[in-house]
Amino acid sequence: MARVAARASASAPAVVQPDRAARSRRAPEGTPLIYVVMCLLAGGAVMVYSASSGTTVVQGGDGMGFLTKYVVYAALGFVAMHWIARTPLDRVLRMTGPLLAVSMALLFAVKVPGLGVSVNGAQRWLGAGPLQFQPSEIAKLALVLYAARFLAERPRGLRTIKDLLPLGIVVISSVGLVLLQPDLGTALVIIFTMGAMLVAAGVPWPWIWTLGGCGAFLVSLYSLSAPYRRARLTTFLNPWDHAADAGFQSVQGQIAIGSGGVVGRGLGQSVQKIFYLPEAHTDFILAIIGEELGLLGIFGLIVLYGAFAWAGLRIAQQAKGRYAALLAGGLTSLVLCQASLNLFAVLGLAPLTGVPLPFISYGSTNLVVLLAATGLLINVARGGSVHLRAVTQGPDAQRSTADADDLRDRRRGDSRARGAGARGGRRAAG
Amino acid sequence: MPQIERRLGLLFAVFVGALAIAALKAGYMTVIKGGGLSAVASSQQVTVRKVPARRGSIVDRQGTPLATSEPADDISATPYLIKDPVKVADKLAPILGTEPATLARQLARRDTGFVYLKRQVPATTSEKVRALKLEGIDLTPGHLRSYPRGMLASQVIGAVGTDGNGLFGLEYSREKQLRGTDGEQRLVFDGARQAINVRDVRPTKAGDAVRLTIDAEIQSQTEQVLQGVGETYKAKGATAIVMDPRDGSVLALANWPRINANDPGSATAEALQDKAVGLTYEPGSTFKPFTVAGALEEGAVTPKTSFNLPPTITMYDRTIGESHDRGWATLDTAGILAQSSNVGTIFIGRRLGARRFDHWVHRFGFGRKTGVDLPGEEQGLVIPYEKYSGVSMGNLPIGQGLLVTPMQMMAAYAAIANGGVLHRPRVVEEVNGRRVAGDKGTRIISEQTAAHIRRMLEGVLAPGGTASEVSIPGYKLAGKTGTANKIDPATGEYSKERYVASFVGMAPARHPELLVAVIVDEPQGAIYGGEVAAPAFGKIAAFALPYLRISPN
Repeated sequence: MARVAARASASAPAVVQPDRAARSRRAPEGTPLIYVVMCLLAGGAVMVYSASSGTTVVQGGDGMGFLTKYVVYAALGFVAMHWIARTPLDRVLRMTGPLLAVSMALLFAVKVPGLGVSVNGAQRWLGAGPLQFQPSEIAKLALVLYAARFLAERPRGLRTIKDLLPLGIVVISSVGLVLLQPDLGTALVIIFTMGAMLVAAGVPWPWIWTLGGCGAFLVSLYSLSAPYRRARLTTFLNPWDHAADAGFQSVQGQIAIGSGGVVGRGLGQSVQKIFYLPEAHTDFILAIIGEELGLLGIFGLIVLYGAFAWAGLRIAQQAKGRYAALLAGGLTSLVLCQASLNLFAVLGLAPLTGVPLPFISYGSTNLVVLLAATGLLINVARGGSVHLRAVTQGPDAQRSTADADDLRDRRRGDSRARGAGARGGRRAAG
Repeated sequence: MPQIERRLGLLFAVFVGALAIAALKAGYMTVIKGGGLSAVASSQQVTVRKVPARRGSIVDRQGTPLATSEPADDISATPYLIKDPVKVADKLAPILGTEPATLARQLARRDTGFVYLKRQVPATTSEKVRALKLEGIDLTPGHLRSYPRGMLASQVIGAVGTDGNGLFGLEYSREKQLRGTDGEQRLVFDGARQAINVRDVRPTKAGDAVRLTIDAEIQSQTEQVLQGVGETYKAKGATAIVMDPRDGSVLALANWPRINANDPGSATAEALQDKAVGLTYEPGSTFKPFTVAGALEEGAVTPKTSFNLPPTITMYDRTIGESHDRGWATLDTAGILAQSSNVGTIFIGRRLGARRFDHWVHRFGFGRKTGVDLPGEEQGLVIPYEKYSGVSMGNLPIGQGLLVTPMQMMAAYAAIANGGVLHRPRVVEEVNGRRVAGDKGTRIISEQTAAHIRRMLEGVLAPGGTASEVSIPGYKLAGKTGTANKIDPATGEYSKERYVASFVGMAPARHPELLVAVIVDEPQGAIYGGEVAAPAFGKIAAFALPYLRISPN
């Protein structure tokens, strides 16, 4: 307890302290993050119903179909969230390796003929019926967990850019498999999230620029490698010239948002959702929000994501230990990267990549995985930490991790190279 | 951990920045581009459609439909939307009853974005086209006007064009009431072109039904009789009017030759004319009763006033004789009318005097439109008193030198028949269930004078009269024959070949409830009204009197 107090006093006002300490033992509902997620889920349920019911009813189906599934997956996600929020982080740490291995295996399985299920020309799914899921979504989470462990394990071990090689190999092979599906959207979310984690981990800027440059080059190469991907790029530059074919979805989305105006047509009043706008209840649900709830609805959503970023990164800043901080930062980045990518694509600021809007879009695996990630964030918020240094730092383990971090960090602020060298070297030896 | 905190702060700034950019773009799209995008949305989602109002029907006085509208569609194509014109043509041809090749040629046109394949296709047929759901084939709802009785009263009723506008007849003159108000519908379509929202911007108001005073059965009989006359005498044209003289209601108004209202395009302009109001002719002897009535009313003569009449009378350069030459004769007023003596009538006219005669011509309604609710009415030609020449009083009293329409004659004769009241003739009984008020009428002669004239006119159909062959068992008839030379347009003189034979009759003579005029333009073979027109009157009256349950007394 004293440890917590000492650590927290360094970063947060003392007044908040007892409150937070007390809350850490209570239910996860205590953090602002959970309110944000609940708001997003409520909005998501309403919008998924609104965006999907019209079309399904017209097609002679059950208007409640997608809503029911959304609620079922959200409930599943809640269970996962609740469980993960209470699981000791070191168990999470132990499961990182197997999870990564499994997710990689699943990414391979997707490409196996007969196993992978093809939807809209992309092989992204495994399983059948209600048990169908997207391995790339699991890979996203596994990679964040792995990167957090990797970067936390060797804060000083990264002397040259080559020290990032193990992480690089894992990320590149995963992203490669995702790109093969092909699923540029998820790949980009992974790449951006990994970048954000490198930034958070304090990796020197020149490395980040170098890696960023390489990543941008490879992604552009990939984007130009297939005709339909090239078409997407040209379409992005001027969707109205391709309104009848390649730009159709983009244009219909813009029409939906534009015709919604400032206050929207009213909930349930979208016309675009009925056979005009493809994927109205998944990737393009933002357009329906715009059409029905107007600019105000979009602003509300953006404010919620902003609040998620604030709450998530606040958890990261107040996390106990480097691993927990990087984990929280990485998970928050995962959500925000996905949200930004979707917003940019639908608003015509980026080419279409096919990423669901976090917590809002209908997307079974994504929703469950994001709620599981929220569970991890809550875990960290409740004070979850891993004593990585207990193993690696020998005598230091007797002292508080927080104190050690503070000391080290303060020192590194003065002289990064020396600090990193001493600690990193010792731990690598241990 | 200041560094990790700094870096996390930086990430937060980046995310907030990205979200802010998204918010700005959303604002730009909704506020600045919102109008344009809304317009695009409307153009793909919303259609404002005209809902044509159903045209009011026209029925006879019994309610028998004479003109009705049924739902029908114009079938059109947008050629550039049609990928395979031959295939589409093969599907449409059997339904529309058009040659597949003709259709295919229309569908393959690239010079136009719109082509009518067939217009006003009855709904039962167009429904089959709709069911095919062919891309590029459109149906525009409308109505098809049809005339269940075909040729019946075509010139009166008229016809409508393909755009649904009345072209002539009552369809033209009553356009405002018949047409109704087209509605406007705002339809919101979904992406699969199914209407998901229909709102009436302007409700459709069906046209008013028009009920005529015309009776389809009398009309039919009249037309048959008239056709017989027209064909027998190879006339240029003929018209007959049947009226209830008590209030001026027209019971039948026939024109020959007939035209098919379902195909008005095939008729000549002359045939389309409603001669009952559009034909102007010199009435000849049928005008004489008005001269006599004026003289009686003024007290210039009495029915018993006796005249010693020379064979002819000469006024300036003109010598007027009788139609059948005779020597000196003594006739009273009634005899003059019964035998249709020209000289006698001129004598009576002289007694009346030119100025008073002119007054009576106008009093009976000549020289102005009767105001009957039919389009295309002529007013005839009556020279004003100031322009009378020396021979005017030798012409006018016997119905020469002035032009009248059959309807004017009917109105004037109706006054004699009903006891002296001039009514505006009427053809429309009701509009949309509300009775069209007739006029109260203007008394122009006394009941006594009217009765005197009727009594005199009985003589026309009595032995020795000019129409003595016509009789209907049980009924006393009254009437007047007329045989007028037409003016030859080439010479400006009265023609010796062209005549207008006419007869105006009423029954029962003492209290007439039926008035019939038959006017035959340029009959061949026979020219006299008593011979050509009077028998037609007899046939029409013989049908109408029992049909209308008019008792002989």
